[in-house]
Amino acid sequence: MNQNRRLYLSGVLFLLPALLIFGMFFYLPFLQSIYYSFTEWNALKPPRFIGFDNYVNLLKDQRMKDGFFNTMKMVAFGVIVQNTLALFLAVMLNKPFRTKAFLRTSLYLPIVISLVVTSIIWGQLLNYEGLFNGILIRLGLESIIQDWLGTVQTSFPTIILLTQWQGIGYCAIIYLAGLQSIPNDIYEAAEIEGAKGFTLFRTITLPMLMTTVSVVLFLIVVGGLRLFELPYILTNGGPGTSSYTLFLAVYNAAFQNTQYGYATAASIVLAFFIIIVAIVQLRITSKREVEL
Amino acid sequence: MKSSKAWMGLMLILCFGLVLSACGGNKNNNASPSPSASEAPAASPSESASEEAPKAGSDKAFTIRVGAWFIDDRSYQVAFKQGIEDKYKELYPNAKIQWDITLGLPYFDKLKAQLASRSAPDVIFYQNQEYVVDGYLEDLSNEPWVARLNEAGQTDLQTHFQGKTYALPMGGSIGGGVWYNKKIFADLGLQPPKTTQEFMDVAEAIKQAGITPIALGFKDAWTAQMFATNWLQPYLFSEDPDFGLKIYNGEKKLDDPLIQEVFLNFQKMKENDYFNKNALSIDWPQSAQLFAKGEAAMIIQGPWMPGANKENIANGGFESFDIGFFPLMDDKGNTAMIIGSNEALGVNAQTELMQEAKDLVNVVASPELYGPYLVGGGALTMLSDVSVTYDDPVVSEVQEAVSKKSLPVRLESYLPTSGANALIDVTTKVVSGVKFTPADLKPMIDSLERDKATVTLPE
Amino acid sequence: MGQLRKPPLLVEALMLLLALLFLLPVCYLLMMSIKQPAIFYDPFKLPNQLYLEYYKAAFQDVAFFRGLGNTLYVTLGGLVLTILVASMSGFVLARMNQRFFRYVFLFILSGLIIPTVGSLIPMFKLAIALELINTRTLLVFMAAAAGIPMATFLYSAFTKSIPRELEESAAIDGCGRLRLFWMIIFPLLMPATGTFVITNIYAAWNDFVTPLIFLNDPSKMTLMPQIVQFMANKQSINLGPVFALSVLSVLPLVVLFLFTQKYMLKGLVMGSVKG
Repeated sequence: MNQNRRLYLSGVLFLLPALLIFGMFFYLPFLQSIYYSFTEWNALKPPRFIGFDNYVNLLKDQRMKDGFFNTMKMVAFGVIVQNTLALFLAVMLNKPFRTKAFLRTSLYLPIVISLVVTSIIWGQLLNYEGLFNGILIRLGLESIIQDWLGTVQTSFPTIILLTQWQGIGYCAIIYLAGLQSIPNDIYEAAEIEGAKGFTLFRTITLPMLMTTVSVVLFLIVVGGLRLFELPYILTNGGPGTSSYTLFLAVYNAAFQNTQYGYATAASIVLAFFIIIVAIVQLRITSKREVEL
Repeated sequence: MKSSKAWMGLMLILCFGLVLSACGGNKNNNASPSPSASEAPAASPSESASEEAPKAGSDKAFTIRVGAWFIDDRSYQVAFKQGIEDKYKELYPNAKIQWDITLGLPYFDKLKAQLASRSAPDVIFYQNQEYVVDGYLEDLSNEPWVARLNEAGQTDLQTHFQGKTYALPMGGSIGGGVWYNKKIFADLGLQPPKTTQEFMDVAEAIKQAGITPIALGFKDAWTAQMFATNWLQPYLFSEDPDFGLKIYNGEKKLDDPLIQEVFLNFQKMKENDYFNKNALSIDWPQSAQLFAKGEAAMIIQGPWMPGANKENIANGGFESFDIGFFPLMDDKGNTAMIIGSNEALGVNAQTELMQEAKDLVNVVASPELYGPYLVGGGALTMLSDVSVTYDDPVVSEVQEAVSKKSLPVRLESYLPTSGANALIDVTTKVVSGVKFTPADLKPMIDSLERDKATVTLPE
Repeated sequence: MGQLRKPPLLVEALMLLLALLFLLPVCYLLMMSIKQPAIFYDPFKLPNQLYLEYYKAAFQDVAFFRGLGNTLYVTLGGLVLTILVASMSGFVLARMNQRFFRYVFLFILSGLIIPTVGSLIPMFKLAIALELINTRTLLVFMAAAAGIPMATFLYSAFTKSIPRELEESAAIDGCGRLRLFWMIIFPLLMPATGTFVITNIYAAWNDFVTPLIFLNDPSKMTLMPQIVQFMANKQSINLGPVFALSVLSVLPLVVLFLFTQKYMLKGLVMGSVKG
């Protein structure tokens, strides 16, 4: 009896430091922001309770709307395109290429580069007089050159592609780890039965990979929903509101317009989305998970 | 059971944290200075209104923080910073000035967060009247330099509120206008345009000559705001100085045909290729480079342009040229300039170094520092005992435009911050090539409707 | 999947091309940092000499080593703190199944999906109340708080691979829980520690919004905001030093990455087996 109680107590004590830090420096501000989301607050005068007004106003805000749709596009693209490409790449990288190490390193390297530096590099490459347009001209495609980040139609798609430069390699490596954790004997057994190529992939690889799939999808979704630094540095949401993301819209609402109550309401909506999508996606993939 | 103890522990942690932050919160909410709560005049025994130089301070050792967003490596800024340090040392030999400089717009993001949490610098450079109205700044009406303000200084919008002075205006700046390369104009036989149509014609001629007519650096969103505001000014205010008020009252709407006209102008210019191709992805220094190199003939900028241009030419080794100025205009040839202080210097109402902060502002107001700062920024003096001569003859062109017609108010004076941002969004959108439709103005209308309560009408 | 047969050369060549395309921006960064001013803006001219003036300018105009030191302090401090507290939590949460512990686990995991943008202002006020504003220590705590969910998850997953008998026998020997953990369990959790460090160090190192907002004193500023501020100081027309500075700030991570990527993959594999 006493043993168990002591065990329990020591368990709690082991948890205490983490809970303190996490609770105070992460959860507490978050909970406070929930309260503020129902107020009008510009930070000096005490917050004024206004119920759901902030949430209603979100629907009429151009930056928020564009931010929302862009963010959704980002997530959809990530889930459909990035995920598939990453998986494909991982399958390729799993093959015994002679230059295996070089291939893996170069595809993973972009994620190491900070977003600040990434923005600087790509800002120059995609400049009107930059390398990318230069190559297009040399290829005879002069008619399609433009200011990629400075045109309403191309600003956000360009940013999406930039996230891919970093994201595909990162996700591919995670898939690679997942692939490598599938024991070879299962494949050999299946090959003996006559399965090959795509059937093998569909019946063996994919089900065994489901945990990894859920991890990668989770990362893609959450990453997509939190897209901020790239549009912040490269375009600040412009031109117009074409490259706004939800995160950026919230940030600007808070800091540019000093509408902290409004901004926290938007961030709660964002949090809400992330949580819903994450839970849904986790459920879908966990149903199909196959344990070893 | 036993788990209840654990839950209690968890609750304790959360409560602990809540209490801590609530304490901080209470500190904040109890002391909310508002503009109407005036303190007893700063009864510093050493002050008297007629004196220019502040009396000796003390040997106290302290660090005083000054916040700014524009003090960078330009020579007159460097000299300004150094001058303040030197002169302040005469007053407080053991004091140290900590320069909290965050270059560019993130400064204001940070400043607002700092003010919200009582951690802002002691002395604050700022823009916009909101800081005054919200009570962040100390009433400085009894400071020695207030009596030295000339008429322009006394009526400056962002430093005054309800009859009190809250900050030192750092000179009267024009909102902005068109600076042009006189050599290019002369070579092409062009005259500064007086109407919008002439403006278009001039741009066309320059374009035909293979030179970019106008250099834009819209990656710095404030340049977009500057261009839009200053072009709206003659259309809206030259014949109706109460236009802004009417917008606020609802008498006129933000999709007024006059406003639409200006954006159609932008559209026309974009369609005719009068802007540089990377207008939206280069910033102000890069656009200034285009101008200094002679690759662009015109640039819409503030009064610091002549000085900046000279420095750019010298640093880049480009061919020198004379710079000219003309104000933006409407179809009929009306002009209306915006005049007001660009930067304002105030004292944080929550500072613990109140007298030391006030003395620093006073130091900045001294002729030896104020004068050169005006020259560097191309600003007109707002202190009656400081007169400056600018060696660039273009200043007389600017002053001529100012004296023709200028107003201390602009459209944004009657809009909430979200409205000004919506204005920027439309501008960058149209300049990027999207055809303008009146629906594009809806966000501006919505923001005025939604955030009207946050607008403080200019007096 | 035909693991033993080497894939055709053509496929390998295509993969190499892809890899080179991915590397292109990084090579571009390196190249631009040493390209002479005369051909700087011509995208097709390659430098034929090593122009080092930009690096000199970067070192002169920016307190690089100070920024590096600050970044190291905040990054490593955050990692160490996270490892210390999260390893203990992950261990306990993997072992104890009572309701309380299950809820705590969910509580911590929820941190993985909650975005922090709205919490910035309340965080600011909290920092004032704790008098931690403008301190790098605050950043250490914030980084730790952000890292705890992922780290706890990793540690709990890896703990499951350590047999319980180990603890039972140690308890018989009279070993206190704390000593048991640090002397025996924690060393066995090294793969988790390694995986966590290697996957999380980049986020901490590259964070630029938090330091920008919470630090005032330039002497405490970390590398990324330094670069952003450097660019804002009229450097957009003189990008050479910016590129040089970028290379310098990325270099430590790239070096770390090149040396540890083997372990990272191994760690991820093990993690996905256990998790």
